[in-house]
Amino acid sequence: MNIVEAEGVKKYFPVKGSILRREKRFIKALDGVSLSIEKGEIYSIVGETGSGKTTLGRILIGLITPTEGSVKIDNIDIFSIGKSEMREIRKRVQIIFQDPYGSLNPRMRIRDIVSEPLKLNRMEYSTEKIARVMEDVGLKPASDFMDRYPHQLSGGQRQRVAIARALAISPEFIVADEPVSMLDVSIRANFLNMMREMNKKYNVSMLMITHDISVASYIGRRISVLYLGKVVEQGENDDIIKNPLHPYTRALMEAIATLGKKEKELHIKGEIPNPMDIPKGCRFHPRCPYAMDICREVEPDLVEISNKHSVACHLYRG
Amino acid sequence: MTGLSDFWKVFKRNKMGLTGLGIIIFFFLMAVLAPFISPYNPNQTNPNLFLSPPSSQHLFGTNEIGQDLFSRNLYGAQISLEVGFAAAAVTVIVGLLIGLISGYFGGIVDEILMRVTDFFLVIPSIVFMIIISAFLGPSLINVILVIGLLSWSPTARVVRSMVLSIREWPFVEAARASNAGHFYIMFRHIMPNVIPIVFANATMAISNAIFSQAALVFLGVGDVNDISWGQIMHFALYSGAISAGDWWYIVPPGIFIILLILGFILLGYSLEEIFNPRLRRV
Amino acid sequence: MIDINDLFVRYKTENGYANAVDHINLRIEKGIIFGLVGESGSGKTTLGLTLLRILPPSAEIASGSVNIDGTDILRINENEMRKWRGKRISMVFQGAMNSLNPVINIERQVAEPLIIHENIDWEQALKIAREKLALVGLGENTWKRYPHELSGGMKQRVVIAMAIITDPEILIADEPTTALDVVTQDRIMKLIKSLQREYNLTTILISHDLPIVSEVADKIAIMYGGKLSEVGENEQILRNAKHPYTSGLLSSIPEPGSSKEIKGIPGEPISLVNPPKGCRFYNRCQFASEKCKNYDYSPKIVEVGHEVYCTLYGE
Repeated sequence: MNIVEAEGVKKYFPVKGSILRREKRFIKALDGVSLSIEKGEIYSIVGETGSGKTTLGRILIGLITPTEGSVKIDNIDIFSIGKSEMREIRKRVQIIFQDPYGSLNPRMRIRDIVSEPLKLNRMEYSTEKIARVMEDVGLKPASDFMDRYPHQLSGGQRQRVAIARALAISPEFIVADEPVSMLDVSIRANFLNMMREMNKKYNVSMLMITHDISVASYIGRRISVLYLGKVVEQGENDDIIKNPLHPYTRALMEAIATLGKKEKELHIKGEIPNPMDIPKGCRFHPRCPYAMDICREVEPDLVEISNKHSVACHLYRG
Repeated sequence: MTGLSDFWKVFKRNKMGLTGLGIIIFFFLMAVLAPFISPYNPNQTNPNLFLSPPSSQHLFGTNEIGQDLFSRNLYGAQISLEVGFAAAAVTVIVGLLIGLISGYFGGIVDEILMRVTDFFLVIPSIVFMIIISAFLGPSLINVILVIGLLSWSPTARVVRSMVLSIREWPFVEAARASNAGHFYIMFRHIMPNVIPIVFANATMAISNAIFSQAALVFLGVGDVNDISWGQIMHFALYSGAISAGDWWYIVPPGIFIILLILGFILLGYSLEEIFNPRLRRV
Repeated sequence: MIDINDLFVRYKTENGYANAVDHINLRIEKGIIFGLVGESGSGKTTLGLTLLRILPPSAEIASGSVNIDGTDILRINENEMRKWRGKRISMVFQGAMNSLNPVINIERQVAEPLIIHENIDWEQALKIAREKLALVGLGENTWKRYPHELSGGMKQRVVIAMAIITDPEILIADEPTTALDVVTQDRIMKLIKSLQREYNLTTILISHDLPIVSEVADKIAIMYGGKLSEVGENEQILRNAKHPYTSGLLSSIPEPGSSKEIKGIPGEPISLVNPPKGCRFYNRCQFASEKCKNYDYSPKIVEVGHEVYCTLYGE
């Protein structure tokens, strides 16, 4: 059973042109993304800045409306329903953000922050219930944190408050947008482990959005690699990590810093282009060491190569 | 920065702010204690003492109908502070609401509200105040309303620009994801974060209101029956005392007005200094 | 040789002093890449700023010396210091790539310090600037561009070119790869490595990212709570980590493809303000014992070049 099903999701943001240049330009943040997330799984999305991963996360929980495509949550198409039905959907999904400083209102106490989704959704809440969630995410004892303000907490603790807030309404799906990238390394591991625990304990599906393929593979059962608004490779964690097919995924794997002195050779050129000028043909071809003529002309589709392992690359055509 | 005690810890090291607060407290006490410390009834006339210079009986001398100017100056603090606070309250409430709505909703709402704000920003407000006051007739309430309703535009501008940045913060998005409505987000999430700066702005608005009230009364368009510093100066001019060189009539209320305004400005600057560093995240 | 002796730098804060660099002894040999690794608030950046003497006004160098080639740069006067700062020692600041002047093209920005400090004419300065830009891998077609026309990696190269414009002997690079994507990170590290190799540039690489540092650094120092916890050759730290904090860091790093659970370190990083007596890592350490509370940070030598600051390793 899938909790989330996204089909051909596109999002074009119009760019304000100057007075002289009247032609309308778009940032193509997402250019046709499909994925499905099973109930109870953690799904990882890997991508650099500009890949559209943040926009995708927002769209999957209905915070942004896509230009094209559909998103179903538990088989309900969330962009074709009315306001009151959307309110019901919002009781079942949550989001946590990258910045542990900006995601909590500096003028609210922790107890009010964590209980807010319950109050807003007119769900039953009590100090005990909030305390239980807080202790679950490692804010122990909860009474020590309840009446504090965000600025009195460390970055790691704030991020735990953010996840407690998300879990308070026992959602079925949580989008976690780079939740550990601003945390110290020694804190990161515990946070990821806690997320795994919560995934089981609350039986909540999660989408882990990250730029770090090691984080993605540590926590995700399946992984999608996003490049300039398109999925270039998709599959089970092991298949992606042990047998990366797309040259971009391979480059990401090669570039991971591992312990010990070494000089790695990277098979990738240049840097990610501006999403306003997406290259013709395969969008990765200007950086690809294996680029062929066809890559400059024809955009490859995402094709299943082996069991649920798909790649969008001409190298793997029949 | 959250609790009052935190605030005090920072504030008490701000010499400028402390000086301002000291001045304000001084005049506040003056206003409250006026009935108890005034040596004379401020309205009591003494036909034998017209425009007598300062003496040990009459510290600030007397006016043209023999009233004790020291007592009248003490009472004058009451009106200045009353008008100052009341008009500033009007200013702040209107400015806050307009700024919040304009910044939060953006688009056409913002466009319209900001053009109105710009209009109030550029018109010479004192001239407008004189015209409207003359039209409405003299009463304390009218003065307060006229000053308040003509001075909110700077506050609205400041609030709007802050709201523009605060509404982009992730905690606002988190609230939206939990079904929070516009008004909930505006008043529960955004407003508390602009309040500190509004406070700083309010102290400036108070000083502006005190000055405007004094000016209006001095020019004769305010209420010349209530005792206020502007009124004392008004009569000093009209009785011919100033041309006669009776400096004691006009100098004390003038100094009081300047001092009190200075007090609020000092306090306002120091508050802005404390609150402004990017919402004080830490 | 950079010889740091008993260096103590603290900041005045609302709640008392923050001991950012708390009586540290360190020797950095010439021509190596020295990795200074620590988390936010460990004091690593302060150490870098102290070497250039550009600490903010709230900071105070309370004691200690920094000897470079026999000169204690903390004792010389400001005029003398100007001959060091930006010339013999220069720094790549964290986030500097986002503070480039948007209205000046990059070759001019790189040349500017020469005009201001060295009285060189524009033509000569631009020539040197172009040399350096080429050196950091920016070809002729980029020289006249403006910062907004460059990618993150290119901007970081510009910043490095600016830092080496005066041919310094020592380069301090503070988090030069943070906020760059992994591919670019790797390229910047290669650049730093090649500068060290070809110009014998002593490089102090400050970072929170142990894996990245470990790929290029010859020696590594681990900082925690304003103190050193372990110093050693690259391999000594990676293969034979002695300090529980170092081991904790090493076990916090997920390795793609391995199903091994990463452990991390429990608790929260310690505040630099009013630190407890004894070992700073005490409250997060699984081996903590009574004697740690009075630990005086006398180093224990594991083997030549490898020092650990921990009570676990004898007298």
